[in-house]
Amino acid sequence: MINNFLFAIDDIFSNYKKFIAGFLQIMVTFIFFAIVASKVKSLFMISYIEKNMVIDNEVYTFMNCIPADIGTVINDEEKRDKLINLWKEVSSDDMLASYGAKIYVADNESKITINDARYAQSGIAKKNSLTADNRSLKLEVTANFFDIFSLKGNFVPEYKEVFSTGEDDGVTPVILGYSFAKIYEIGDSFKDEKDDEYRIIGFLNKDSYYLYPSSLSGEPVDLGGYVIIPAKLDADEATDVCRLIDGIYVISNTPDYCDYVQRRMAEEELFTLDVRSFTYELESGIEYLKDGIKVNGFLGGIVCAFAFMGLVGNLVQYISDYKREFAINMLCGSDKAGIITRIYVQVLLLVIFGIIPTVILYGKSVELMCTVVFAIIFSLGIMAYPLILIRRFTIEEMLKRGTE
Amino acid sequence: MLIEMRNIRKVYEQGDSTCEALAGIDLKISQGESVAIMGPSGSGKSTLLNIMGCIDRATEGEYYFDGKEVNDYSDGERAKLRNEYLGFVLQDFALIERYTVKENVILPLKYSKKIKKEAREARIDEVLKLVGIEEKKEQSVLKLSGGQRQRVAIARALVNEAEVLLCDEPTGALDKATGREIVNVFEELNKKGKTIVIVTHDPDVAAECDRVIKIVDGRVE
Ligand SMILES: Nc1ncnc2c1ncn2[C@@H]1O[C@H](COP(=O)(O)OP(=O)(O)OP(=O)(O)O)[C@@H](O)[C@H]1O
Ligand SMILES: [Mg+2]
Repeated sequence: MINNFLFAIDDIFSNYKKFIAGFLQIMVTFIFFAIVASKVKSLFMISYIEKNMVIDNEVYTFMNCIPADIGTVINDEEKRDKLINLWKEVSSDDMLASYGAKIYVADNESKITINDARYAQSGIAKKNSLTADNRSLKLEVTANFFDIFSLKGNFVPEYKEVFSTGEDDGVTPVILGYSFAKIYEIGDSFKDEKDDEYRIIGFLNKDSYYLYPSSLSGEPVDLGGYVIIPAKLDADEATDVCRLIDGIYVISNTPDYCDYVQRRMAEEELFTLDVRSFTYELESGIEYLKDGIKVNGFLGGIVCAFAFMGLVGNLVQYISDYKREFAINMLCGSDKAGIITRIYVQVLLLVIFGIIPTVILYGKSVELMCTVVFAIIFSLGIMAYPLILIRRFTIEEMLKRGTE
Repeated sequence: MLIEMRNIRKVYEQGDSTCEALAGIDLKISQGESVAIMGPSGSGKSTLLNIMGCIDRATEGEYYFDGKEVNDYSDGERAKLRNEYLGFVLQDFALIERYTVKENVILPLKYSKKIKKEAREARIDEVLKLVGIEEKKEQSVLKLSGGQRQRVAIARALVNEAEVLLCDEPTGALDKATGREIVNVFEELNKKGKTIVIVTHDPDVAAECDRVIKIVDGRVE
């Protein structure tokens, strides 16, 4: 066994150019596969969200709070005041009630640093946010957010009240994604970079998703790595109001309320808002994902087919070149299984090297697991024909010189 | 009895046609014997040697090696037999040309636990000395003459303490004088107790053996 492994390594070094070419092909194949897997996963997540969302009517969002506009509004004192006043007017409970609209907030514009050794050592931040820094993703929501997305978990009984009103001692209540459950327990507290204190009042279950629709790319958010705190955006701050406009979701059976806000914003020459329904967002997201699957699947399929044929061709060539050597090894005491091992180890190494970029890109994830399964099947597929070839040969045939 | 064959048949099938290379061979070879196998071209000598060497399987018949029926052995068991009991010396030497002499000779040891890792080097020196090419140890096989290459093949056949040397026209690719030297090596080995089976066309080679088995049309004559 170890022998055949060493022989395989030796053969790779003797044919390293082909090995590198094969590696590149396999690498691209696997990346495409992982991309497709990721989009399929997103589709599943979207349908999961769709199935589990608890809303009687439609959800509307304001889009297009264009950054260029923000600058002109925020930097102009007069406009700034206008914005704050207008927002107070339209977001008042009375106004909402008169339109029969309800709202929830989900704002994920910022990140949070948890100043805690356990957290720093756990590597959670890196894993979840895919950023080099040590911060985790933060989501600021209103308490009804959990109901709307049917988010379940392990919470303190009165978590909704605590979440709406805050703790008496000024500590911010926080609900964490499931990945934090490894290092924390309910009741634990930690501080952020500004030395503000947070107390954990619950953990979400695995498979907690929500949709942040503004991108239209239909990428659902896995809340597993999120730090969720009560929305504390300050309606007296113009920058916060801008984020509110982005992060507010209006539950209503008509777009009237949103149209009204949109009209008022235009009248006051503040923002040009776009109103979109969640249904539209979902559908366009699904379309986008499906297109992505088609395009990537097609390209990946082509690359895969070329890689497959190329690699099988290389293997057949290699076997033909090394036939006599295999036969000599068999004379000296190897069996066919040994020779097959020698060949398969090379394919396996190729596949292992080829999957490394996918590991780097996707980390420990469903996408990676799917790709690993695919890689194993792919490697067996590549081996199929060479295996038949080797099985057919007898030692005396293989000993003969020349090519057939 | 070291080798005993009963009614060994070998039929090659090629598409619709079949070719009976061996048509019922009975033979016995005892430990320490030297046997020449002679016969016209195509009579089945190599086929017989291949079956004897567990390189190929008989279509029919019984083959006892050291009292055990080996025709039905698994692939792995036959490989072990080749590795530990049988040594091959073939007309075209069957050496790996990109390897050095040592790398060739060590091959059987890599598939065996018989000789410990630490003892391998000494064992290789020993067999190379036995066949008289100890100074070529680190040389590439490509730089050797035919006679020297055949000595490497013999060294490799001996290195794992094989009982039997199976030789298919070992002098066939060598000139008369070199062939003679190789035969002398076989004689030496036979004196030391090795069993030697040589397929040959050369009556002079056959004359050096204890016994000659003549094969015609796949049968012992
Ligand atoms: N792999 C094979 N497939 C089909 N027929 C074969 C095969 N090997 C040998 N034969 C046939 O079997 C018969 C015996 O062949 P074998 O090689 O044993 O003869 P041989 O006595 O060694 O001849 P030579 O003296 O020329 O080496 C021949 O008719 C040959 O054509
Ligand atoms: Mg022959």
